[in-house]
Amino acid sequence: MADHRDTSFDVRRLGGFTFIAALTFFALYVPIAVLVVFAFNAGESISDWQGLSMKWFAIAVTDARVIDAAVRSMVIAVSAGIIATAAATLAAIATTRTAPYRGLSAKYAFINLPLMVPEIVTGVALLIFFSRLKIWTGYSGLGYLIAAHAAFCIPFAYLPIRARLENMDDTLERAAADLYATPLRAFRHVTLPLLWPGIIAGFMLAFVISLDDVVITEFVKSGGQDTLPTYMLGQIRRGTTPALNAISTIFLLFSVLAVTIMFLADGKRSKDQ
Amino acid sequence: MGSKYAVEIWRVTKTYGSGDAAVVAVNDVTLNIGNNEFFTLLGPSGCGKTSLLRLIAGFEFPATGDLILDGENITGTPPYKRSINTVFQSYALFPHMTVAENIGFGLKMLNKPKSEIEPRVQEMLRLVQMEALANRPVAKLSGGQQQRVALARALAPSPKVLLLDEPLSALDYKLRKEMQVELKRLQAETGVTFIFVTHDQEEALTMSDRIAVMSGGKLLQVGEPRDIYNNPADRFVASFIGEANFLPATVAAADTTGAALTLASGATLKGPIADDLAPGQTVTLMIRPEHIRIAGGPPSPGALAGTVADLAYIGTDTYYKVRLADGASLSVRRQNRPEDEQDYSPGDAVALSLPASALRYLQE
Repeated sequence: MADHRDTSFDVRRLGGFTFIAALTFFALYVPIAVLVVFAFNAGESISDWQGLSMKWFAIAVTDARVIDAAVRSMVIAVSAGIIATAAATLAAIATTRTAPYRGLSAKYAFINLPLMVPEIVTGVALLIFFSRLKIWTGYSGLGYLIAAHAAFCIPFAYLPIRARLENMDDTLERAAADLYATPLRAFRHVTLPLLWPGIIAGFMLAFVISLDDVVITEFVKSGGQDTLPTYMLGQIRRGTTPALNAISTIFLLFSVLAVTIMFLADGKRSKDQ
Repeated sequence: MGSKYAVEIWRVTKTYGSGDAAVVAVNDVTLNIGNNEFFTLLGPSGCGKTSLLRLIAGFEFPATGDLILDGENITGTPPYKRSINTVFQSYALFPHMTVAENIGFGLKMLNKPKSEIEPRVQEMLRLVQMEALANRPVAKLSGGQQQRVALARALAPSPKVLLLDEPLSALDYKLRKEMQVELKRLQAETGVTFIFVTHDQEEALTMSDRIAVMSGGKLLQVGEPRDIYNNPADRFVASFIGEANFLPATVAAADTTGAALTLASGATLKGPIADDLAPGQTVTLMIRPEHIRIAGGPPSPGALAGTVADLAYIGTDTYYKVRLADGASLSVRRQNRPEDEQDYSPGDAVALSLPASALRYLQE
């Protein structure tokens, strides 16, 4: 008979585990680290180190075009994030606060479909659709970009909100109804306060996804509607300076911050429930 | 005042699923629960007692039948319009609120002014002896404290009926005993009708004014604890509440003074008077283990001869398993008294007397 003292599976005992893990982390993070390091380069090169300097940050944040694109990115990401989160919250309630029925899992799939559809397809489709709308309505403002971003952000906002609703004891809502709360007041006084961390997490995720989208934005934007990522893409075509690294570094900091808020929000109160 | 009854349940049926997969959770139950009554729904898990409670609360609606609350038909009324509050098995306290906010929630939803809510919350805190913890978040409370808050929260809006869904099952033995007394006190002090759901027969016997025994969605018997224990309606009730011995017998003779019964072994017993006994009829006799008297030596007339097969000493009492001549065995419970010198050991010949007054005829 085999030795039964400890036969439980532990991935750490597999040969080469540590090596592969280290290599993966290296491949994932070293390029980012290099990018961040060269943002502080004193010279013009993004590969040849010539001393420490903050000048590219100064150049980047005072460049009117960068500021313009950054503000536009923020406006779009905040608006699209709010719209997507509101829609996702309603969708999450509709799909969790109901007895399971035939077609419910089809609805889950339908809500999450934008995650699977290639961005290029969505981009082309919206390009064609919006170009007609632009002609008919004569409107060519930021609304199209906001609508497009809101659409592909919905599944990202939906996931954490639905997860939180599923973990929430629905006896609480029953208790609220038992204590004379109408469905609307039960939602306002019990469901919503408990769901809030999930909603914030959903919003942060949607916000970050919107903030760095390139493909769909590139297809949908009208002239003069560059967001920060599309502006940077345009700059790279004309040759690169560490200013791009500096913008990317700020971007990275911002994203990390948003994701951290998301994790803190989602972790909050889940323990004491 | 309203109706004679707090709750009237009339021919209520609740089915889950449909077609061949349909499960009848509550099957044609008719029941009247009086004002100021401590009423218990008792039965094993899956017997329909919790389903019935949910129907009364309004979390679910019956397929057929009517529910009357204090004379008013509430069959289709949503839960937030019923003057009925529930203490949930899991307590379901709102984790984002303090103790006081939890207790005041119902009154707030009834749009009562703050000047009315605050004194009422204080009164409830006093009632459940939680004054010191009013501003504590509920997540920081022990199980017993959460239980008290759940009770205070449900009682604060002065409901006509309080529903309690196995509220003591999560507590340890000692706390459970304390809460049993506490619940009786609360019910007496508030005068609210309590409908209590449990699968614990001892809890039901201790606390209730009346008990309804349920099984398979049906109501088997309704009565006072003593009545149900002494005169169980059928074999299920007899064995679910307390312990019971069952003996098949044939009626040899019956008149207005009693009945003569013949057991399978040929031994004879005297039985109590019953209306519908006819000679030749087969019946099932029920007797509680503590009602059988055990003695050493050969049986006196009217007693049954047996052999001790097994025994269990439980401190206050000793259980004897006694095998009769025909192979049937009876469980006998004898109180341990200092003056009883004689103990019986497995293999000892004993005589069992089954008093006619303790025997019951059961429907199968």
